[in-house]
Amino acid sequence: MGFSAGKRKSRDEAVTLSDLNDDVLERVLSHLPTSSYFRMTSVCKRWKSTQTSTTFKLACSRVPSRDPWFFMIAKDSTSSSSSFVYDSTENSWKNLNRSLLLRHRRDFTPVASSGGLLCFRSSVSGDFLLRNPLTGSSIDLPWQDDNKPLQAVAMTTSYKLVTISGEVPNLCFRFYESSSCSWSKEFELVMKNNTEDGDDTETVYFLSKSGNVVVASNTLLRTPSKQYSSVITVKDNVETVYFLTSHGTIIACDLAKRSFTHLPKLLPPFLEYSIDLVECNGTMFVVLLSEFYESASLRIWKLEDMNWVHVGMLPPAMSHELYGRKGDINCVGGAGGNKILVCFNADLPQVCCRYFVYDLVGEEWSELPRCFKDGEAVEFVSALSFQPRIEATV
Amino acid sequence: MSKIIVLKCVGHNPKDFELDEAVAVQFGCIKDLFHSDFDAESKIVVDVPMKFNSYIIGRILEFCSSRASFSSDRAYWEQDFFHPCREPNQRKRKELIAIMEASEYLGMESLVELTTQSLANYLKGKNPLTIRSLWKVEGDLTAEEEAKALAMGVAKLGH
Repeated sequence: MGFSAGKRKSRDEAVTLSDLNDDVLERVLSHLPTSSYFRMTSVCKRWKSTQTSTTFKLACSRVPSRDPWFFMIAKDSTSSSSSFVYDSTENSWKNLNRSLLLRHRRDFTPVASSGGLLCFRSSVSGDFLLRNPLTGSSIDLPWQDDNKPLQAVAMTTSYKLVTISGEVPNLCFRFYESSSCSWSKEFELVMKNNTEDGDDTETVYFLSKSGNVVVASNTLLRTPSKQYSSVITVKDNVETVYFLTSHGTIIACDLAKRSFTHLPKLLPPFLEYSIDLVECNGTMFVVLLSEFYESASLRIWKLEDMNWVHVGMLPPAMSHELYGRKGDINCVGGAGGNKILVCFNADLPQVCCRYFVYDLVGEEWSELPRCFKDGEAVEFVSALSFQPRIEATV
Repeated sequence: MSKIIVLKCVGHNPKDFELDEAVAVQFGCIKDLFHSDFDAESKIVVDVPMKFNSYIIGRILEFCSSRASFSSDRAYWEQDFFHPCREPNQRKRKELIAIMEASEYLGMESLVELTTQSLANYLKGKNPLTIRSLWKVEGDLTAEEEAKALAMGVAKLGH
């Protein structure tokens, strides 16, 4: 039974993949991580031809999820002539093909992402641009300016773009769906009263290190990368958009009920801090960098029944290195994965950019190596996560 | 009272396999036969192409009957049934491809999924040159086309 050596002629036949039929070959290649797949297209003409095959793209769309790549946003995004990504499968930095870059569109900054697509917004016209960073497939979404300040931009898979505009308490939302190819009308969001509502405008005084009585600053300084910092979660068909206000509080918008609430505050307002929101597997997490008792701590919290639950904390030895730098954190959840990327950047006493990754399942922290191009370090302030899918189209 | 499907394998080691309903319904190409109009007592004989020998069909049936009541289980496939290894020898590679092609022919979706994933795991992370020599694929791209394909999409950066 089976193959016993030397007994049959067929034993000498080499094992080859050349005889596989197209369907089977495409299925095999669709299971490869995207980086591996790109390398494999250099094996032979037949394998390369899968890149433009409709059936191959269909096979790829059946792969339920892929490890996220992080699309990095450099400090000075207008000067960068390349796109950098961090491949979480191969744990290495990569450079995206130049010809797929937004060469003529320097005013576009990345604002949201979902599935295999990235969303950019023009700082000049306010128009949006959706793009698959691997294939360059893109679409322009013109924005109708209604003179209301834009608070949040969020995106869900295949695809739906949601925007929240206005000033609290007069908020409204609008969305663009790929199925309808048009913007919806504006929907008003009604503020739901929170019984714990404290007075946001109360002045708080505290004792600074030098012994002076100081008025606490209530305004969160927002770097451009955090301007529309928001996430969207979809649970039991209910879409909720969470975003940060300029006071550093979090507002949750229930799109089905068309209402919004202020979430309970995590920290008293007089502490130095930087805060950001991420979404991971349908749950919203808050990442908080705070300075207290001569050290800094980086913690992750999640909301459970309107109470904050502590999820994880960067080892104190590592977070202490972030102390005293007045750093800012910009965070993102690995698209579909269980990882949270925290980009820390500070200018004092010298430029310092560090990238920490928290694995929600293993409850482990790790740090990404610095990225070098042509011998020079490239510094990033923020990132968007996406799934590297060549089949994702707009 | 039960219908019987017989898989007839020819070639080096000809063998007939009788399948009961629980096993046969896992084969996309056969399960419809159970719903067709014929005598309850009769036997249907399905000829299996020569390239799928009785050993491979036997292995597939082994997989089916032990998991006939479960949906495809990757852990079982990898640990108990296929025993994958980092550098599979010629025999193992041949077996994987044969099972993959046979299950595709017979319409066994879950096994096609498992085998294609296993093969992808063998290819993943390897150098294209290694793939060509190990799996006997002829490189027919020009040096320029090859360089272009490697540069396409992503280029690794140092750190």
